[in-house]
Parts: sequence; C-alpha cells; structure tokens
Amino acid sequence: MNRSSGFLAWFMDPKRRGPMLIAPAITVLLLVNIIPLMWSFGLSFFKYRANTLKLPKFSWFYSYEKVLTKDNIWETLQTTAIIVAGSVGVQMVLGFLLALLFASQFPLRKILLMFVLAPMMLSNVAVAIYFKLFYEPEFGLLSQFVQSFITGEMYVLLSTPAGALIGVIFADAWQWTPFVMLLVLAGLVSVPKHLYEAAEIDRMSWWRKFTTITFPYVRSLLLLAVLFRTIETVKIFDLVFILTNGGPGTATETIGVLVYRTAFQFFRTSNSAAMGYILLFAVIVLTSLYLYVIKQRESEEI
Amino acid sequence: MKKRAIGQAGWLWTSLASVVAFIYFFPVLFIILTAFRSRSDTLATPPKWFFTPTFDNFYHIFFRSMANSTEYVATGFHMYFFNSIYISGMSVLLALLIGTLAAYGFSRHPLRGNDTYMFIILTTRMLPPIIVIVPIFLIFRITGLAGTYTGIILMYTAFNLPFSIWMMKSFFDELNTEIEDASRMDGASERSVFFGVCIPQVKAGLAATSVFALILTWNEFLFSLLLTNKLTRTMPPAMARTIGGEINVDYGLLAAMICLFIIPIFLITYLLQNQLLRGVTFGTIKK
Amino acid sequence: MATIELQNLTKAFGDLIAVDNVSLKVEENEVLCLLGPSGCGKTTTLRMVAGLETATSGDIFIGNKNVNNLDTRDRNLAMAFQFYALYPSLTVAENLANPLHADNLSDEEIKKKILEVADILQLREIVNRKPHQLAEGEKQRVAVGRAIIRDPECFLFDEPLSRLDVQLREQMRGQIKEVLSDLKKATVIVTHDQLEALTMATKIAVMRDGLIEQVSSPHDIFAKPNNTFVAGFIGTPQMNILECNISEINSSIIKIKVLDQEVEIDFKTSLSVNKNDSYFIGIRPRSFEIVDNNTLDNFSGTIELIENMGSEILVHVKNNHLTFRSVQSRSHKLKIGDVINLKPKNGQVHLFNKSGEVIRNE
Repeated sequence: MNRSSGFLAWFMDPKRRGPMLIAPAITVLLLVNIIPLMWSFGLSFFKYRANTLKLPKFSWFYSYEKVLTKDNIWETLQTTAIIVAGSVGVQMVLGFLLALLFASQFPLRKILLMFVLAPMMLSNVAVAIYFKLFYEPEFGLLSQFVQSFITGEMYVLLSTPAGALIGVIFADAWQWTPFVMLLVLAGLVSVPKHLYEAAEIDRMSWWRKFTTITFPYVRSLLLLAVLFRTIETVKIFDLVFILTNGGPGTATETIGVLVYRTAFQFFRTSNSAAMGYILLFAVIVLTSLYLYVIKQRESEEI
Repeated sequence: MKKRAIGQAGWLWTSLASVVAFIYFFPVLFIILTAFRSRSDTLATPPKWFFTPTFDNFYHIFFRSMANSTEYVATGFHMYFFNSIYISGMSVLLALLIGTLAAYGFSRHPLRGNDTYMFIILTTRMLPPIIVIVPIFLIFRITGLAGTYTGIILMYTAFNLPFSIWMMKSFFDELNTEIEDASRMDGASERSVFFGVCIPQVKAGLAATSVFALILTWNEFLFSLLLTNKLTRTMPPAMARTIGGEINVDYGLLAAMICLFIIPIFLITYLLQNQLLRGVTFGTIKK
Repeated sequence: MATIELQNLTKAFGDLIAVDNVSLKVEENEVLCLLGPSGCGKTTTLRMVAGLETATSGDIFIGNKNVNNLDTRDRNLAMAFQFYALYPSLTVAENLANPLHADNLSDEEIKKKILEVADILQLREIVNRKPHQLAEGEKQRVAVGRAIIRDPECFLFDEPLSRLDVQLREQMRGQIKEVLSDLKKATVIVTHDQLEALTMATKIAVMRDGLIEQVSSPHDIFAKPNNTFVAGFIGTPQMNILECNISEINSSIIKIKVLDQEVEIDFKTSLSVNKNDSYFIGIRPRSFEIVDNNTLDNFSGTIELIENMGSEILVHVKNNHLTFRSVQSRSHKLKIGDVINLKPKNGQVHLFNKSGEVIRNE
C-alpha cells in the first residue's frame, strides 16, 4: 500500500490528525444533539402550540417574556434548587462516609460493595414506583412503621410540601449516593501506601493523617462527582412526576416537571422551549463558574 | 493483638459494613421479595415478612392472560430483553470507540479552543430531555430512523459520548508519551501505536466508562419510549406499559421484571469492580 | 544507648521466603549497610525493623527492648523512604516539621529545627515549595531531612541515593556520611550500590535470596570475601573468577592449571587443598601487574579488546578459551593484538572451593 498518496494519506495527514480523530464524535453529537437543540432553540423564538394546526409565528422574545413573568418559574427554580441542594448535599456526605467504610480491605468486601451499589442500577421509574409504595399511607412501610412505633395513626408523608420535598430528596439521594461513593472510594484507594507508612513513622494522629494525606486526594474526585450529579439532578423528572406529580399543589414542581407540563399538558410548546433554554443558560453559567473556581484553586496550589 | 497491615481490617469491620450495607440495600431487598410475593402479601398490613414464595410473577412476565379468557399468550418479553442488551451494548461500544478516538485527538493533538469544545460537549448533557425530544422525534420521523435499531443506538451513543470523552481524555493525558515515541521510532504505524501501546494502558478507564455508560442506557426510558417501535423496544418502556395505570400497579410483576433486568448490569459491575476502582481515579488527581 | 538486634528473623510471603533466618547486630554509632541485588530481602528486612511488615518468626530488639509487638509509631525510629514519600499537600518546611508534631514542641523550637536541618542539607532556598516543584535531588534531601530532624532511637534509610544522578550521588554520599557520624545513632542503610555501601557504612552485610552471605567491615568485604558471590558482587570492574585445577602443591606455593595455562601462585600460607580437585580462583582486574617475560608465575595472553576507563583502560586478554580482564594505566600504550604477561600481585589472589566458599587460613 502506498502510504504517501491517495485519500487515506490525506485522511491520515499529521496536520489533520487531531480534527480527524475528533470528527466522528462531533458528527454524532451534531446530528443527534446539536441540530435538534438548534431547532428547538429556534422554536423558542416563535409562538407555537403543538396542539393547534397554526403555523409558528415569529415573535422574538415573546416566549421568554411570558415564561419569565409568570409567577411559576421563579418558584419552580427555587423548588429545583432546594431539591438539588438537598439531594446532592446528602449524597456528598453519605457517599463520603460510605466510601470511608469500604476503603480498607476486609472479608466479603466485594460482595457487600455490590449491595451498596445496587440502588444506582435500578431505573428511575422503578425507584419512583416503589418509594411511592413505601410512602403510601395505608400499605406503605413508612406509615406502618410510624403507626406501630411512634404515633398510632397513618402517616402521610407526601401530603405536606415539606414532607413531599423530603420524600423526593430521600429517594433521589438513596439512588445516587452510590455514584458519589464509588468516585470517592476510588480516590481513597489511590492514595499511595507509602504516605501512610511515612505517617506512621512520623507518629501522625488520625485526624492529621486524614487532612494531610487522604483528603487532598479525594477532593478533586468529590468535586467531579458533585458536578455530574448536580447537572443530572437539575433535570430531574421521572422521580418527581411519579412520586408526587409536582404536588401537593406545586410544592415539588421542579423545572423538569414544569417543562413537561408546559409542553405536553398545556401544549405551549414554544414556552417550554424557552424554559428549557433559560435553564440551560443558568446551568451553563453555574457550571462555568464552578469549573473556573476549581481551576483557580488548583493554580493557587502551584 | 494481631497486627495488621495498613489498609486491612478484620471481621469486626465486616460486621459493621454488613449492617450498613443491609440497611442501605433494604429497599432493593423489598423489591426482590415482592417479586416472589402475591399482591395481597405485598400490600398486607402489618407487613408480612414470611410468606410462601411464588413464581407467578416471573411466569407472568413471559405469558399473559388475555382479558376474558384463561388462555396464556407469550408476551415476547424475551425480545425486549434482547433488545436492551443489543441496543445498550452497541451504543456503549460505539461510544467507547468514537469517544476514545476523540479523547485521543483532544489529548494528543490539542486544537485551539480545546477547553471550549470539551465544555460544549459537556453541555449536551445539561438540557432536560423533554426539550429536545420533540425535535428529535420529528427528525427521526422524517429521516425514517424512528423505530429502527440504528436510530436509538445513535441516540444512546450520543448520550454516552460526553462522559466517555471526558474520562478517556484524562487517562490519555496521564500517559507517558515516551513509550509511544519509542514505538514510532521502531517503525510502528499510528494505528498500531494507538491500539498496541495506548489502549492497553487505559484499560481501567475503558472499564469505568463502560460501566457508567451501561447503567445510563440500560435504564433509559423516555427516548426509548418515543423512538422505538414494537420490534425494537427495550425493557423500560415495556415495563412501563405492563404495569398499568397509577392505581393498579402490579407491584409483583414489576418487581420480577426489575429482578431479571438488573442481573446483567450486576454481573458486569461485579466483574469489573477492581478495574473500576483503579480506573475512576486516573487523571483526575494531581500526583 | 541504642542498638538494633535481629535474631533469626524470617519473613515468608506464602511459599516465597523473602528473609531467611537473618541475625544481625548494629551498635550505637555504627552504620550497617544491607547490600545486595534486587530481591535479596534487604528492603523487607528493613521494613520489619520499622514495623511496616510483620515477621513470620524471629525477634527484633531496639535499644534492648523486644519490639515484635510494638506498632511502628511506638518504636521511635526515623526512616527515609526510597520513593521519598513526601506529603504532596505540604511545603518542604511542613514536611520536615511533620515528625515533630507528636513531640509537643513549641512553634519556635520547631522553626529552629527546620532551619537547622535546612542548613545542613542546603534546603534553605526551597523551604516553601511543594514536593511536585522539586528536583529529584531536592526531594531526596527533604526525605533525609525529615528523618534526621528527630531524635529517634535509630535511623533507617531505604535506597537513599538510588534516584540521583552520579554527581549528585557523590555529593550526597559525603553529606550523609557527615550527618550520620555527627548523629551517632545506630543506622541501617539498604542499597544495591556497592560504592554507596563501601563509602557510607562501618559494617556491610551482603544479602542474597534472603540469606546473609557475609558481614564485615568495608575493607574486609573487599579484601576478604567469603565466597564467590560476595567476591564477584563487590568491586568494579568485577573480579575474574576462573575455574582451575590444582596440579602441584608446594607448601604455600600452589601451581594451578587454568585451561592450558599453568601458573604458580604464592599464597603466603599453606592452604588445605587437594591435588587434582577443581577450584575457583579469583583475581581482581586491578590485582595484575605487567611483566616482561612469560614465566611460571604469570598469565599470558593476547589483548582482544580495550575498554576506555578514562585515565585507565580495561584490557580483555585472551589465551585460547580463557579470557580475563585487567585494569592498566594508559602509559603502557597497549594495543589490540599485543601479547602481554600479567602477574597477580602477592596476597591478592583468592581461592575458592567447588561450592564457592573461600579457602583461607585465618
């Protein structure tokens, strides 16, 4: 095969190698993600309802205005923020503790670890349905537990706004804590043993060992876990929809639920697109800020 | 007292870990038990922990009785199972292949604005699926991809690309390039440098990426619901269809489905556990 | 008063016996070097003294106290690790000061000690840097500094110079030797580099496959090796060790036959050897002198290869199938193809029996 001529050579030319390697990935993402994104981004500038036959009317920021001035959206963002903060917060703390538990080698570790990882492998829908059962006032385990041991009455967790929020946060945190745990555990496991040995020679206290050796290694992974989980939790839909349907009232109506309702219940299609992009904008800003701060911290250390 | 090496703990620790693991696993245990219970047992008050197990639920996964008759008809569930395996597997493989190549490109031949591209790739994960589902649905309809394996696999591949690229890039960043240079000097083509030298070193990263990607696509519901047809449907929409309305959820049936459905992922994760732990950290920590 | 004593120390990893029944003693003020090739068990032995590995059997005494069941932190040792084990999140100063926190010293005292050590090891300028900003040599010095900043029972060094380049190594060798003699504590150094051992140690223990081959002073290790392994391991260029037969014994003068050559060697004392038995003869390359005529007391051969060693050369001399090496000065102006006669210097020939043990009259 003659290497120095022909299409293959043009393809493999060192100058182009970088772009060529990236090309397939970019193509797929372009087709599947970015083009539809652009489409619906465009749609957000029109007035369009999917349940009528009327053609979309170009209307600049009409949809955005509508969305931003309606009472709902700020409340919804607030609700979403509470759920995200609550769930990710719990995941961080619990995930870290669980990781500490599994950091050393002990008999049966591999199997026990699988038990703790199992929740992550269930589908959102499954978790939602069964937690709904748990929270059920008549048959649910939670209520029966409260009935037998605390009050004598049925306990309806999801009837109050606070209760509903807690119910959602609890279920979501339960499902995804293993993810954080796994990442933190991987960090704990990667600390070079020599450092702990030197610490023994130096007669370091347990606390100092943790803050000087362990935590720095874990920190970056913990932050990565938080980043991913936050991005995913902001979109939360399945769990909330099935568990509380946004209720009671709109107490647990997250952005994900609101967008769904706007698009498929009220058929205000362009509004829903606008909502989505406002959310996207918010998340992009927050994420960039987050990554920026991380980069700053890292360069400070140097 | 018996001295232990640093990082070792004994059976005492195992007991503690067992208690914690059991508590955490409890809801899953409930689901597994429910799979073997009749409906009345499941909803009993007070909760019935000891019951006679039944395989009815499992049977019903594969054979359903039609209304108004006692005839049992195959549900074709094995097909959904197969579809899940095929579609998830293919998309993970593709994401791995394309993503790793791209990660290699980003790492070894950085372009101007590398960080920007990487960030844009990350942003594709940030939108609620609801927003993009409508245009995607329409595009799929128009291009005839709706209901095809190709369509949904393409979709899932795109889902997995961001994570795959971010993970693998940090792995490639960590590699010592001298070995690659040495290989090139020995006359190896670029392809054999990539497959022969680089890939073996990042095996742990491939393992970690596969597991996370697999979990993501295995349980995905919305896109599968809209983009597959009766023949290509995966498990999650199939599960949803069979549980009926909100009021009459057949908990036992659903539990049985979940039990079966979780097995492949469980196995793969267990097998890759060691690689996984080693894999996830590489490159994200400054050594 | 601090001594380290190992009695019948053994460590097995499953079926592999890494350290086999080792007994050693290190007095106060002594520097013992555990020397040997990779995998000989020297590092494992050191780690057992430190308490980082548990012994399979045997006893370890530090300061006359049996420390078998003591945790590392209770043994009051200081150790410099082969891969430095510097805490990445702390500066050099904080790394150095780390061992002192357990001693409850005041901040000023700690500061003073840091500066003291920094001066000794020339770390002043880099005191505020983090480990990943340091060069190899600097990291090495910080690791040593962290060990000597304390006042422990004894010091342990694991391959302290293995990661440095030649110049740096020379420098550090001298520095460490000075520091150690000032500190006057029992010290154990593990190394695979004989030059390090020969310069820094007061006593050398050569190890192979978990066993101690010989324990002697640096001089004796070199001049009086107990077996062919030690003889071949110590000294560069490597000693010529050749198989031979004894053809004649004349009190202290033994005529040996090495392949076709018969050479008479005066061992100065009579040795218990048997005629016609096979033995090994060991002569270091520097133990030859060139003579003019081929008489009975020297080897002759043709120069096959000349290796450049700076101001000296290493000649490979061949006679039939017999090759031996000799270090000579350039002044002889030797060329390939020259025929030369090499006479072993008196008292610098070693005789070993078939199994490699030395035959000597003590």
